[in-house]
Amino acid sequence: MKKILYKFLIVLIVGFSTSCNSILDIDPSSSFSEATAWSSEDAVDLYVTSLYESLKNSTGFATPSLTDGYTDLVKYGNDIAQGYSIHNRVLLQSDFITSSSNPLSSWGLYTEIRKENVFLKDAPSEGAKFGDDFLKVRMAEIRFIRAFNYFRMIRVFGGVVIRDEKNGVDAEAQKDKARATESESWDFVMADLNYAAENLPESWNSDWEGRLTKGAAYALICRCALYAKRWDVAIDAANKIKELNKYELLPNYADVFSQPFNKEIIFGISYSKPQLVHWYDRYFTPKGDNSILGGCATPTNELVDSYDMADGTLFSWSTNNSAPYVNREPRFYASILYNGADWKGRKIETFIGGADGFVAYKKGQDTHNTTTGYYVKKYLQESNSTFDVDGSDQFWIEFRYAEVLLNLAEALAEKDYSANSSKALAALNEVRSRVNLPGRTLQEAPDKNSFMVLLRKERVCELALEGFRFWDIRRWHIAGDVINGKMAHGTEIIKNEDGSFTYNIVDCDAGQSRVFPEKYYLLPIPVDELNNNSLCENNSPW
Amino acid sequence: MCFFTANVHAQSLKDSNISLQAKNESVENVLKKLTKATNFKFFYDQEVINEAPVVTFNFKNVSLQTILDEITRQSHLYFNRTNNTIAVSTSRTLKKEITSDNLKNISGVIVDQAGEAIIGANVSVKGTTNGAITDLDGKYLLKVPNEKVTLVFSYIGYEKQEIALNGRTVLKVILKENVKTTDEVVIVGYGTQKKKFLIGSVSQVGSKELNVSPMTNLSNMMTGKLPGLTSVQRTGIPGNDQTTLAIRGLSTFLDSSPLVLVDGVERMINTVNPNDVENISILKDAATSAVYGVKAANGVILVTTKKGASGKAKISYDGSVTVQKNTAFPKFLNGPDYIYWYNKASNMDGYGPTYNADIQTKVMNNYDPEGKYANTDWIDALFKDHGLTQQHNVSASGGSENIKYYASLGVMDQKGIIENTSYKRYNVRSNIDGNITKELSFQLNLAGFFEKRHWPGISMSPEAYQNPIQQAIYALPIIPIYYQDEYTAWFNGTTTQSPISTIRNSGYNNRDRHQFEGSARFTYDFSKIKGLKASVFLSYDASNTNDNNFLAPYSVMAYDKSTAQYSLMSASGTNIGSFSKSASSGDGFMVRPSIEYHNTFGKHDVSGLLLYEQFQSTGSTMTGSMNGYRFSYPVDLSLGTKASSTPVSGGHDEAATIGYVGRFSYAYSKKYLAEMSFRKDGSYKFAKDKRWGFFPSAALGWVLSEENFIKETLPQINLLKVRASMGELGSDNTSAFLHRSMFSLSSDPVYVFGTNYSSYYGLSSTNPVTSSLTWSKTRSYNVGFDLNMWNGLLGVEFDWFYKVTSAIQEGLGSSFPPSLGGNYSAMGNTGKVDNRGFELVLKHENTVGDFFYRLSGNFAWAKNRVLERNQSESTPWYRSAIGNPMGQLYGFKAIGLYQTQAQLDNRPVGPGGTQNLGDIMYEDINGDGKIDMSGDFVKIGHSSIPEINYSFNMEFAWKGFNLSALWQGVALVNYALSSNYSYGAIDNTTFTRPFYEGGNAPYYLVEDCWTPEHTNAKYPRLSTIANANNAWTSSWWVVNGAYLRLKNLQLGYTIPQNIVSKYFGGISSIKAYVAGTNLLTATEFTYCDPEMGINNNGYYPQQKSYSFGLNITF
Repeated sequence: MKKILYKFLIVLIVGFSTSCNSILDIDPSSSFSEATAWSSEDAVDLYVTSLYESLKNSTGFATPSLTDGYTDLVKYGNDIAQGYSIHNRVLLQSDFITSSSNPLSSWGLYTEIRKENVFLKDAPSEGAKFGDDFLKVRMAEIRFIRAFNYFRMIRVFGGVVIRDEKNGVDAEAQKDKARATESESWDFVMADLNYAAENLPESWNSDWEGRLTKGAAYALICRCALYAKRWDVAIDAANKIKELNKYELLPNYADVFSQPFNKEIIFGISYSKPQLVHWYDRYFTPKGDNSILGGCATPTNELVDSYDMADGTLFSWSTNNSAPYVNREPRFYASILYNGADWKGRKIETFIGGADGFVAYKKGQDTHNTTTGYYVKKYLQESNSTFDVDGSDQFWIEFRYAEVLLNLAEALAEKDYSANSSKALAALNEVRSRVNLPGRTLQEAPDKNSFMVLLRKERVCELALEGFRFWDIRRWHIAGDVINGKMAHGTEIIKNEDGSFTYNIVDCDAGQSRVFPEKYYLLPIPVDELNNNSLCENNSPW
Repeated sequence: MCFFTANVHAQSLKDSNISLQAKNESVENVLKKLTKATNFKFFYDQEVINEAPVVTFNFKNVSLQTILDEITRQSHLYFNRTNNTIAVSTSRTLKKEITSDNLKNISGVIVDQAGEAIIGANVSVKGTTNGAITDLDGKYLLKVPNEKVTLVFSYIGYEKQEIALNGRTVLKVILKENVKTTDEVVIVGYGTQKKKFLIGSVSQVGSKELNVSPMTNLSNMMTGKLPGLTSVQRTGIPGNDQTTLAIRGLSTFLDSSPLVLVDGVERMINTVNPNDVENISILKDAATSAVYGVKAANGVILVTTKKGASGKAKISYDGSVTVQKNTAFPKFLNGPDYIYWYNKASNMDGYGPTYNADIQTKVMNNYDPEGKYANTDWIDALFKDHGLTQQHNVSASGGSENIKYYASLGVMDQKGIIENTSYKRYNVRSNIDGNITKELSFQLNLAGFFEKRHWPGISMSPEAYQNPIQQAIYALPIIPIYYQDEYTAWFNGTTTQSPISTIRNSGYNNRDRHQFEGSARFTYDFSKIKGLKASVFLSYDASNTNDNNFLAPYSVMAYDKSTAQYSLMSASGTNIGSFSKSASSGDGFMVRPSIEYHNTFGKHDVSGLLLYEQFQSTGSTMTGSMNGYRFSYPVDLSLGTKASSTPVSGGHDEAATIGYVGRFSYAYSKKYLAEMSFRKDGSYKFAKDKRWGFFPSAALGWVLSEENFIKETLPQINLLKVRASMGELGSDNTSAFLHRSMFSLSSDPVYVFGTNYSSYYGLSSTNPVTSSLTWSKTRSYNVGFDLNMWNGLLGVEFDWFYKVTSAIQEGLGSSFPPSLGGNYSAMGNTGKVDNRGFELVLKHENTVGDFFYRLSGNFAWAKNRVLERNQSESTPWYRSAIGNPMGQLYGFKAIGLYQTQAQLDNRPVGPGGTQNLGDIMYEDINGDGKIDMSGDFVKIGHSSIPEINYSFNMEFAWKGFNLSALWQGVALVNYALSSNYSYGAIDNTTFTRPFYEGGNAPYYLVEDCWTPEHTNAKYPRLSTIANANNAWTSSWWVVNGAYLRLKNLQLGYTIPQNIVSKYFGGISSIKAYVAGTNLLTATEFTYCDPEMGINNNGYYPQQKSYSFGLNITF
């Protein structure tokens, strides 16, 4: 009996002391570790790909949401549909933006920046085995993406807190850090972009078409430089792009948005069915195509009326009141769906009672009718009939050559219009001549201010619905003039018994004036940052 | 009771052929030897024999009588022989043998209330020492001087009965279990404990009290029966009633569910067959639960299943049929009333009436020649008259002394009150106990279940998109159910509302789960070392779950309010047919060797336990999905026509824990009790240097009633014990592997590259490393006493406790700036909460003639406070979590409805929405002229977990009848009728805003809304338009969640034995009963069930039930 007891005790003791602690060392094999991420070139490219996602999330397709809806160009007629209620509140409610609740805040991009910093910190050591050529390109891509994210923050807040990889990635110990000045912030962005421009390839093979290139880096330098008012830098970057001799304007404006990988695109973002789609068509298609979700935001008269006649003369309701949509310049037909426009084998009916009919905007309403008499056309896929179920695979253009030309024209004019006027006009007119509009002349633009008026109008017509207007009017500091105290307008169309139409210009803000106080030029730093980062100060009026 | 048998030969106590030596040997051992030597059987009570002093003697060739006399001399035990059995007792009453021949023979059988024979019970003639004891079949034979004497029947643990013979010579006696006995055994961690030695805080409920009325799962059956346990049932959905359990309230802001062990293994409580349960104990303080270490901070629930008892096979059938109805659901407007109220609201909004006289007439008459309008009660159409549940259980138990079995088969079939909602469960169990040799015994428990849950394709969960109940509320009562032979829908411009079609045509959500639960224990009882046992416990559980979810595309004839026309359209939420099938399986394996020792040395009672426990589990899931189903039957993955975006996914996980446990207890003279225990636990979740925890506890008790000064001065006290304990417990309830840097490959492609549009996946870093995270610690103190007086006329149990939980794992996000991009420890051990309270139990029971009754009440209070919590520095003091209970409701303080223009003119700015007469007016707490959340949210009510739980239980028995009623209530609890949805939105609900989302409205609401004619209103301004002003969480919407309800009621009748045996041969007992649950409820807001907790749209109401049941024992 004692033997058994001893045996039992021995088993127990052995059990207690050995077997066991090792069973607690479980390797969580259902996910990966850093070792996997840096294990091969393919793995690194998977890692890099994941960081491209923040570029995709910056497009107008992402939510989808049109930043033009914060400006005079686009009216959100629906205040209820998920995610679409904020535009009118920003425009019509003076106390809507606060430090704790700011729909325009991009401060959350720090989460992306942290991931980019981790990559950049690990790359030199973990990635050394792949060789300089391989590694520098990847680091250049990530530095571009980081710069792009910082750019998206600086244009909202001015100077930002610089978080980088230099002394390890900022963590708990570095929680208190002051904001850099706006100029320092742009310096940081430019450093990243210069590295990117130096190390990115001019092009990729067809399997990787759509990855960042030298051209993209210069395009972003050019864009940022306008914000930073570094005109030389902008001019230089635009010229670098020209020197690449790779990009040109397409002869047909509408083709820019329908021909994939066309020569005008410097950097675009592709989608692919069925897995990677967006829902732009679902929410912005005319009501006649999708009565349940479509028509959320529509172009205003402020935009539509900017499109000149085909011969370059100004459009005017007083002279064109019987056939306002005839004989307009090509960009109008490529960008706007109007009453009577051909669309998916039918005619658009925005007259009252029509399939896409007009209803007046009312605060808080849940309508999918147009409140302006128009619908957007740019970026909608006319051939896509299953957009509500399968989504859309229309590509997004982040940088295209026309923008570079307009940037160049602007930088030249800003730098010294009297010295650069012919170059500035040439750049501007290159864009106009593509749509067969007569070139602007020195007579029309004898000085910088008159040139800028023309340039701004050109940017509206050329870049409408591509996410530029809101940021442009802020950087030009004209948002107050364009928005504050104003209303946007639409066209109420009545179909007469004889089949003709009567057009009435109506405001589309339910009689309420829009607001853009001076303090909106620099928006408030989020309250969570101010509370937890003792060195971070808010922008002054907030 | 123990007994030993041997071959029976006629023999005499006087035969002088026994030689036996004993040195400080226990009487039990001596008797075992004597049994071997003589073939006499000894009957004794284990308790009696254990307490007897050891004996020492040395006899050679003496008679048994001599030895027994010597034992009597040394140990004060007395022996009484009947044929070949010898009864051992502490009194002299049965000592004399009856020898006279001219006496009458009286015979009979003694059984317990269940009809089972009682072996070894005493029968004696009152006032004499003449007596006998029952044999293996419970039969006795006694000689008495005449047939007029009174017989006394007694047995340890049962109530003594005196019965006058009155001429009878055959007498069957049923002995009632004596619940007052202090020898009650309580299930505690890794073993049992005699209640009189118990110094921790444990509540236990037996199968009889548990199974008062048929319910579908154990969680709900425990409600009100275990002081200190809070059980709240959030909905009535079959198979998912979301019952939450908490022991002694909340002590952490993480999951506070207690650890549930079924037969010693962590298992699900709600799939146990309630009929298999022998008892349930809850361990409330550190002294009792510290042996479960890192999992025990929220208390422990131990469920023990039935075992067989030796004896003849006993087969029982328990069956019941239960009819269920909603406990509460508001009445919604009928067609004409809807039109009246909607038009009135629309008029008040300035839009004029919406519905014209023509429609009104058609609805009023419930007749429209075109069939477009009708007066339809969608709620009534959706809810059937009742749900129906059937339960059937058959069990068999019995065995011999070497092998005992309990086996059962159970079926539970619940059909919900809404069509196409059902839940079925089949349970099977076999528990076998056996002896392999005299020293080695085993126990083998095998159980399994199969459950089957069936819901419509559109989820019944509250707040689910297009929930059918919500659709019934949104669908307006002015359209018929059918139009042109199609189901109609109300189309509000965005979504279709068609409850009946959704229930019938939206497909299904089916879940099938199979589970096997097996455990075995081998115990070696060292016969050489008294009281020492070693055992190994092994368990293996495996489960497999299959989900088949089909969302069928179907069309409805939708009435568009803007065109007043019907058109056939695809029902909202189901525009494509999609099907997903997932299989998940898991298993768990545990090994637990242990050594136990228990012995008594004179007045010293010592016991100890050492144990090692190792648990490993794995899990695996796989899901496939397809779209494009052209037919709604049959459906499976290969019958879909179109791949979904993620056709297949799957994963696996592993877990492991290790524990070392020790427990030592000591009692001196049954008066002074001490116990200490510890557990060292390792959890796989944490980094190597953070995974081990040590959890000690200690407890002291003093049984005052054993002291002479109490015995002499207060003889009416049967038991008085004071107890105190303290200890530390832990919780590892947090995500595993946060100390590891992990990368995840995106489940879907994240980016498209290439001219061929190839989709690329992304590999990204998921979490910043949190290396310092470890378990949280709960220090727990308990002081209590037990009192029993006047033999059960008064019983009191009282426990006071205080618990502090520190190092609670919590997210640290709010204390770091977002500019770090999340690069900080996501979790830290930084929270601290305390919790205090008490439980009081009062019992009274008595028997008056044939009438037995028992009254008991319990009252438990627990209140917690957050002591430390990570919160943003800008939180104003009046909103700070610190110092306040968890779950505290915050909102604006409503100060009335706007009644005058002056109030409107002088109102502060905010908080959004519009303000008109009749809208809610809020107090500007910080006086800044603005009403906003950051400045003006204040405490407006208790949490939705009640601070007070109480219940009253009443039991009456008279002859064959029994009646029991359990009243259960809660207090100091609030919920908000209009509040935060679980997905974060703040809004009204259908219960607080008329015509919510364009739907219908309940009568109580519109009838008490503010209108110019009814300004003294309970609800704000009647309107058809949503007004954010009235939707804010505010004191206006807070209701008192206290309730008192008749939780269980049972009236039963047991058919008298003589009738059963006369008319139902082979049946030993029949009991029939009617029972109910949730029969009456008193609460403030009567339109919804108070257990709902958070008011939300589309919740499936809790059910009240009426049952008829039958128990038949063969």
